[in-house]
Amino acid sequence: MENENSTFEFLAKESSLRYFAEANFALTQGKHIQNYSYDTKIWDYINDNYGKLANYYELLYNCFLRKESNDRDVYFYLDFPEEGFGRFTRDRCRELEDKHVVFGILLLNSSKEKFFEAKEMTWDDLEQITEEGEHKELWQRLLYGELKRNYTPNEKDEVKRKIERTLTEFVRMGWVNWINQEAFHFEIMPSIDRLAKMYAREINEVELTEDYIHEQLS
Amino acid sequence: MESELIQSITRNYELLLPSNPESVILLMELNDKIEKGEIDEAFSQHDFEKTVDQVAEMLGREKSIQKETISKKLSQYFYTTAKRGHEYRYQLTVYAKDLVSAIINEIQPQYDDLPLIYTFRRTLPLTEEDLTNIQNLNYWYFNHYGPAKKRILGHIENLQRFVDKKTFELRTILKADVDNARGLIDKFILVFREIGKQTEGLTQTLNFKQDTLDRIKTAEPAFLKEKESWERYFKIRTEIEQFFESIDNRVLAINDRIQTSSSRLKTLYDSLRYKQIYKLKVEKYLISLIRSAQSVDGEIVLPPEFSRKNYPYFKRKFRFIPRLNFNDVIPKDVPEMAEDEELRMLKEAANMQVLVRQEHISKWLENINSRITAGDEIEFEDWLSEIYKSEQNLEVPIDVCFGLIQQHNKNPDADLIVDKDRVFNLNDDVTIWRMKIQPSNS
Repeated sequence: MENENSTFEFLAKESSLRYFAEANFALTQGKHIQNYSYDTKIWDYINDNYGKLANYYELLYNCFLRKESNDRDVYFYLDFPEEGFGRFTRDRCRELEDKHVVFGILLLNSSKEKFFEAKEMTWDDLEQITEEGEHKELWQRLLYGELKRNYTPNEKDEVKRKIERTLTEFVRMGWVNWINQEAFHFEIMPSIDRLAKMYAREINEVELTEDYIHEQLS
Repeated sequence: MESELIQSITRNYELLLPSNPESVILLMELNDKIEKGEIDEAFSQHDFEKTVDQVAEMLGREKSIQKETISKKLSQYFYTTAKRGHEYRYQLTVYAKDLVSAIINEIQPQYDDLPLIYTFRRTLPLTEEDLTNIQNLNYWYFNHYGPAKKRILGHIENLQRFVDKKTFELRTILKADVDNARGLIDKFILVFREIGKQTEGLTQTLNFKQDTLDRIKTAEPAFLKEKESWERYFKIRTEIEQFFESIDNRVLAINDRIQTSSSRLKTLYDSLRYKQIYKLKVEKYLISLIRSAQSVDGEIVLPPEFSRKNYPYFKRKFRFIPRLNFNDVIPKDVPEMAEDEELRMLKEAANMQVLVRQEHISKWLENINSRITAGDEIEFEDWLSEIYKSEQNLEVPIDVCFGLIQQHNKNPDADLIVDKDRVFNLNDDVTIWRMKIQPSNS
């Protein structure tokens, strides 16, 4: 009994009274918490109480509070056990949509490319990839549904809005931060690294994936 | 140490070493001017006094400095007075010049651009002739080895300091939180290039040194003829062995430091190489995604074989019924319903019209029924025409017809006969079957 009491005693502390609710809402909604902007206080709280919070989530939610780092930037998120979703069953979890996977990996790749620079992107950078890059045909077929010599302004606007909606979802997850949404200027956050972890096996075995695609397309 | 020497040093200590920074800087300035040719090797009183004033200005001291006092203090060991014509001139002693060089080299060591092996080769050449007899060996010892020792030790000391400084720089670079990692690598390369330049031929140095020692040892038979020669040779050889041993340790220590720094760079290189390989894998995976994905109804769809990942998404929504306190409700006055006057009048008119029609229908039915009661036969088509002409509408005659059918269809006192074969045309638009009502007993 005493042990059980001490496990959750931290919830009665001043810091928990102030920050636990916000931290819990954010984590259970799939957000990745970084030491940045509005999340700084929550990050501090989770960092200071990491062990106890990890225990809390493991006992009560049957999932894991992960502490990961990407180039010295530490971030936190809730992760499921290997089998199942813990207590996040039925409508309490979401599957990462296909478009989120594709754009997420794109941002991850850009983040790795910008090893020596600030990890910021604008609409111009994205346009360069989709309209002038090495694989522009693949991107255009995917974004516009067909490959044409030219696309109308409305078509381009529609694609821009779609990507903006995807980025807004990424903001909710903590993978991206708007620097100036009107100017379509955003920053890729360190927690985008989570995608690398989610798809670690697929990335490491990319040659097998390529063989499979080659087989399917031929 | 001899006690006389100790006493002599103690007695002359204040004159042996400059008593203040101003004296040291004065000596440095004078030496510097001589080297640059600004003043003669034997400089004048005027040159001396001018330099004193310049040093005072440099250090922010008062210019009314006692020049004669300084001159007296320095005159014992740092300069000699030489007569030139009618004038007395100053000449810096070797001791003064050596002291100045030693201080400068300690504070701001001038690293040789040449590697250590060059210093060895340049200062310590040992020819076959040097090893033929004790005189030649002695000459070599005093005139080559003696000065060379100092030079070699100085070079090694500087090298040690240089490697320490650069190793510290490397440590600082690795710890620095620099945004520009490319700059970090450039700094690394620069440091290693400098170290590499300085320590070039460390191995060659050790080999040269060993070779020199081996040659001295091999020449031993040449000095065995006389005891004095042998003793002198042995002393020289032993000293050289000890000197070289001390160099070995130092050079190996420097080498170890360089190896440690190299391993740090290798770690960084490996780390960056891994990152680069991983980055290529991520890019390949991205290409495989966009190659296999399709656009379906404007949405990106990956093949079913691609694994989907889940994440927590629990957004709670709390619904609650708002509490209303009816006690606090102040009822509002219900406004009177605004009636549409026109509509009311239209409705009234319509109702009146219906009433009138009902009245007329009743009258016609009463009339016809009275005739039937009187025993008359009713041909309805005649009545239809009359009613239509009188009422100017079809509703009344039709309702009269329905009324008659309702009343007399099952009336035992009357027979209602509908003749479907014979039709009656009221007008171009209306055609009816003929209907006759006759009393049953007729």
